[in-house]
Amino acid sequence: MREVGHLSGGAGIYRRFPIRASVANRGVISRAVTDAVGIDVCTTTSFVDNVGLILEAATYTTTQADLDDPGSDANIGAGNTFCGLDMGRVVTVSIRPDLVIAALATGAAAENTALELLSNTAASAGGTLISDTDITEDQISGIVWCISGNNVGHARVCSAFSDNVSLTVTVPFPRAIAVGDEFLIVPWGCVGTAAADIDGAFFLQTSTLFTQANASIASGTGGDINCVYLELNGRSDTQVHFTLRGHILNNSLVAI
Amino acid sequence: MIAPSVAVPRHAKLGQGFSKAEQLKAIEHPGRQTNPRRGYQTSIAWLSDLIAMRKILILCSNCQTHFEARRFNYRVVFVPDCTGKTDGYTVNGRCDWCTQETVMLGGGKAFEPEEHYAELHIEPDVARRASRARALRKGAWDAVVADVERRRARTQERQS
Repeated sequence: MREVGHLSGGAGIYRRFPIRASVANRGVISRAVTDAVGIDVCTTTSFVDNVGLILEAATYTTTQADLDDPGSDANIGAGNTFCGLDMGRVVTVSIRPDLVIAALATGAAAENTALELLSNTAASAGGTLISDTDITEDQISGIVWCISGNNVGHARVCSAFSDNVSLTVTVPFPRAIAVGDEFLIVPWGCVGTAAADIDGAFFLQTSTLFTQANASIASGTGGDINCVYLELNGRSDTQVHFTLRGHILNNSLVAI
Repeated sequence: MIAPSVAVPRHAKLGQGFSKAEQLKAIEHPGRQTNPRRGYQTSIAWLSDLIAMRKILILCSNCQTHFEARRFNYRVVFVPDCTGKTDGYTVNGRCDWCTQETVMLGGGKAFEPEEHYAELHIEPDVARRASRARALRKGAWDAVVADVERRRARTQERQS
């Protein structure tokens, strides 16, 4: 995940926090104090009490720092001086609650999986029905867009879904959908109220390593976000931009 | 007898504990150690350790001159600023050289190891190119208008 701006503009704010468990990857969402030792990485489905985006990897250890001989060659520059070991247990976090984060959409829980390609199997003259047996997740309120065929470049909100059969859009695509036309779909949208079937803009599930956004899940699944923008490109370069709703500095949401 | 000191939450009512934000502030790393009694660290030793661990550095506008980013394979962090208040290269925090808040010192910059940059930030040039390409890309309606214009011109040619 990457920093791509702030809703209110201005400069980012970075702070350093100790960790309570190793952070294996950069660009992951953090989770705040649970035992006062330090922060942690989020889970794939919960961003509650997050602190922002972690920008460094670090290994958690309980080894004591070597303060006896900080001037020795073994210690200088090896992360083992006065501050060194401490700093090894610290990560830099971009902490602004209005930070816009961009995550690459992956087609499975594993990272860098291409999005599921929907190849239409039944013509739809009205431009509202896309048929494919690969349609297996309830992504109502997600966005479906055409990448090959009559409607290339056009996107619509998914409004109904039939498992292993088809998905429907309420506002028709401008031209008829022919057999073989290709579409992609993501479970996220940019409008809604978080109620059932209009919740695509408010939840996101991460990939296994927490570095990308899992697009193969049902809409309304995952941690709390506000979807800001969707970069609808191809199967391997589509991105979702979002802010974190459960940020610890977001006073309207965090209980004291 | 000296009474034991008790930490009292700021702005809290009786019975309330520290807020999560206050707890978080409490565990924040204080930065370079400048108290001689606890082991004074020089700026260069601190920066040297951070560079050795390939950590992100934050330097205020005054202290940026002390650090040659290219020499250590670092680059300046860029985060687009939609308001245009900053040039996108400004990041605030505690300066790793002088330990002051950069927001009080004309704004700081963050320096990130080159090898980690693509994972966390966008390239300003790429972002600019993509944005311009999007702005120039014509929609379907423009194509229809262009087609109508072309046909009209062809008809006029035939008539003349």
